[in-house]
Amino acid sequence: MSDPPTSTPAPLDEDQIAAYVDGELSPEEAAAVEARLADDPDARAEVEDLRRMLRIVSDLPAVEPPPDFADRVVRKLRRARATRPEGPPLALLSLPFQVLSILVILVVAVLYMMAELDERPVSGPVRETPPAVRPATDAAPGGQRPVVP
Amino acid sequence: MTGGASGATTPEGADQRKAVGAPRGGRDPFERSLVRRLQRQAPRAFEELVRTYQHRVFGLVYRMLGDRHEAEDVAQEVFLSVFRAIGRYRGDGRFQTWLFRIAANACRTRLRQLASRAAHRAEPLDSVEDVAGASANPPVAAQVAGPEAAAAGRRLEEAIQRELSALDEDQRLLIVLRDIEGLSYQEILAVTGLPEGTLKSRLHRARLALKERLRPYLS
Repeated sequence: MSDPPTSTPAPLDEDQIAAYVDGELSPEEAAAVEARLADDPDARAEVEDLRRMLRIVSDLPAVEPPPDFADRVVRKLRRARATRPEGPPLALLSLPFQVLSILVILVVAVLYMMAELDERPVSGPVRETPPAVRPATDAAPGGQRPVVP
Repeated sequence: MTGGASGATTPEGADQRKAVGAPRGGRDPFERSLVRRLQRQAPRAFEELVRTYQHRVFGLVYRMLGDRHEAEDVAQEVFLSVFRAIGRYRGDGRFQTWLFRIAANACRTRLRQLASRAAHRAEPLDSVEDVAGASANPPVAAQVAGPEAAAAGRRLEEAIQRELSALDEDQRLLIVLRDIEGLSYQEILAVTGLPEGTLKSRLHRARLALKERLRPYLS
């Protein structure tokens, strides 16, 4: 006859141990972890070591900044603000100026071109001028002289 | 490398650290008011910001870098970054969490720079940290009477800082935020950007790593 299978509880996972030592489990969850720890001396020892270590770490003294730390930071900020004018950055300020410059250049260019066009001789098809009226010295066809009023 | 360390820690320890500076808890009216005034660039708002949060920011940065001189420099940069970026703070989370995220990023950047500098000097970064740790920490054991106890406390504090500095920087950040600065899990998630499912396991592994390193001091 074989022995009845003994059910060994699954080891506690990392999340459970972290939350347990941090006191982040509900009372029911904490009780379940404690029941498991009662059956697992290795896990119990590990949790105890962790707690001892955390006590030491969390009891480290507060680290104080130098007494004049705040004054120095505020002075540094004032210097930074003094070198960088308030309001929009310089690039944004210069943007309208750049656009305006381009517009002025365009307008000047157009005016110049118009002036040039006005001065340039017309080079298109020559308009046909009517022939000058010559005095009717020659006899008209048919031998009649034209009637001059 | 180190600024005058004398008197830089206070004997009240964690209790005092957690009481100093910013109010804890939900998004309180103080934070909201301060943020509004900072965004309007109201006179003295920045000074109030620095005076309110300097202890917590400096503490976080010092524990991450292990060196007072570097910590002063980085903490200053953190506050100037906050001032420059305050217009982009939308108030979606706690201001203090946003501030800590800036501080944590600044620490990561500085640690990378220090590692790179140490590599160029062909000098292990650990030795930089050792020097910093050895000279930066004033006595922890002002709490304990007697020069021997004070010396033992100082050695222990130096050892903790040294072993903390030897941890991987992500593990160190989790230990500092949770076990030294006392942030909640939710706040740590907001600072680190870790997925919710991984925080506790990573924190546990970080603690195990530190516990192994501190084993000689735990007995």
